[in-house]
Amino acid sequence: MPRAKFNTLTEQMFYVLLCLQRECCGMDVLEQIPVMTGGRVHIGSGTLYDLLEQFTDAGLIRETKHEGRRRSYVLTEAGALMLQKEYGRLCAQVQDYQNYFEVRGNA
Amino acid sequence: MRDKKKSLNLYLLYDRQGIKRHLEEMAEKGWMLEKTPSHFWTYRKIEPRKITFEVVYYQKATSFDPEPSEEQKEFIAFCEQTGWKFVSSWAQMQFFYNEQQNPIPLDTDPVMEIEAIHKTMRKGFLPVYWWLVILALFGCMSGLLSMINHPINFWGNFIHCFTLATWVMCLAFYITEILAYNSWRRRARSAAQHGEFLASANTAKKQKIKGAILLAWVCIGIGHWAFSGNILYQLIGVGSVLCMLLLILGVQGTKAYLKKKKVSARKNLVITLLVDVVLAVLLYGTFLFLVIKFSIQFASTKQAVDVERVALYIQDLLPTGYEEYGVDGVKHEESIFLVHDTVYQYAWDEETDEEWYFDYETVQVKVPLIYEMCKKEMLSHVDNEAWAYAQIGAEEWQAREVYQAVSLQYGSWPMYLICYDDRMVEVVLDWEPDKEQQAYIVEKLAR
Repeated sequence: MPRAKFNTLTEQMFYVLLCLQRECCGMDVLEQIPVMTGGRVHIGSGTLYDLLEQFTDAGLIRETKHEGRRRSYVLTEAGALMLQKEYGRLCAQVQDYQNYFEVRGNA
Repeated sequence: MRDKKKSLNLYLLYDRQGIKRHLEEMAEKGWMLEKTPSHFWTYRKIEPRKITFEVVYYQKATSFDPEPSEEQKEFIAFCEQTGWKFVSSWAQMQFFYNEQQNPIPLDTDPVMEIEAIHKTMRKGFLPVYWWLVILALFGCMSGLLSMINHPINFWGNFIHCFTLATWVMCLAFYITEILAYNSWRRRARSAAQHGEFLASANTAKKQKIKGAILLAWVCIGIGHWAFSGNILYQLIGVGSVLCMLLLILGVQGTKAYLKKKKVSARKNLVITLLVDVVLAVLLYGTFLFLVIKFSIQFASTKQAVDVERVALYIQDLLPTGYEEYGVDGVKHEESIFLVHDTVYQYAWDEETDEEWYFDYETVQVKVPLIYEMCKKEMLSHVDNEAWAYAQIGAEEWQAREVYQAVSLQYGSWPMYLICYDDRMVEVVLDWEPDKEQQAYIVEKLAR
């Protein structure tokens, strides 16, 4: 079960889980996030190392390979659900934003 | 020219920003951090330049690790893949540097960072500080009890006053340290919710101020001991400092030796703790034994030395003709708060085999605030089921108040507590003094 601390995700957590929909190692995640966000989001290697450990402990991701000092991970079902839930929350926020301006625009 | 130097690290464990700033300033001055084996960090000479430093907290490391574990090496290698270079570690703290311009920091989530700092603090700093608070509280309680129950002995003895003041100071230091950390953590957690990392106040500066106060305090103690002229106090001072140094050296030496021998962290911790306990018991046990032994010898030699402090001799009160007079004991204590003298005397006539005893105790109070508590203690000298002090006329003794020991069964006893404005005199005679003798006692002991 995911821990209570992951009830909502920070921006960095969201992109880490998003990257891990496909199996990849920590370095891949570090490289993919800036590309995915056009350089808007960066994640530090210290933070990522901790996050990968915490996500594994919480069952949101699982380790797939451990070659030398290189570990690969992939999203679990719980992780995918978490990501879906976060996506839903973000969409709801966007919808609320749009509704607000539509109402003001009509008024 | 030196190419290496050591300097004492005064930054506290949670002051990540302070340490980072300090290491960057050192690099700009041409000193690069090299090793952090203890509080003394080693720097090597480099070309002065701008280098970015980062301090991260790796929870699985301890200060007892003989070398980084495989997992820790993996963590270091992971960070090094992003351009950071590992310098050294100090328990959970890992030091990295980067020579690129504006590198991506190792920690980019302040919430997680504060959590990591707090976990580190809970492992070492906070438990140690709470134990020190408990220890200081015991010290304060013991000192306060001594002050309440035996105020004359307490205020008259520099060691007692100094020890209590030291405990109070330590307690204040430890508590302010914990409060400062908790206050920073509360504010930092709030700032982290907005994505900001709140730097703590410069902990090294605070430590320097505290260190200066501590040093000044120790100098006062050492100065007093050195110039007190009391060899027992001097030995106690030197002995306690020596015991402390030997204990620190023994414990740190054991820990460092076991690390060098690649003994596992758990074994090292257990052995070092055992050495700590055994060494403390041995050192302080021996020290205490020597102090007690020396005090006994010292007390017996002191009587002969301090007779010059006798203000009134029994032979001046008695008619002439006694074979032998003597001073059985003299006790003198003096501090900035009071002067306390106790004198025991006797006289003996061989022909009649008559013996007379005369004891007196004077307390000269220098701080009016403690007068009443000292008087209370003096009054308690005669306070039991049979005897008590009763107030009598003070005119004949030219005093403010006079008390005499009385008993319902035996009547009055020539034991008097004579209270002046800033001085108390207790005299115990073997006979009822006449007016002339009273006047003589007043003349000699009232001032």
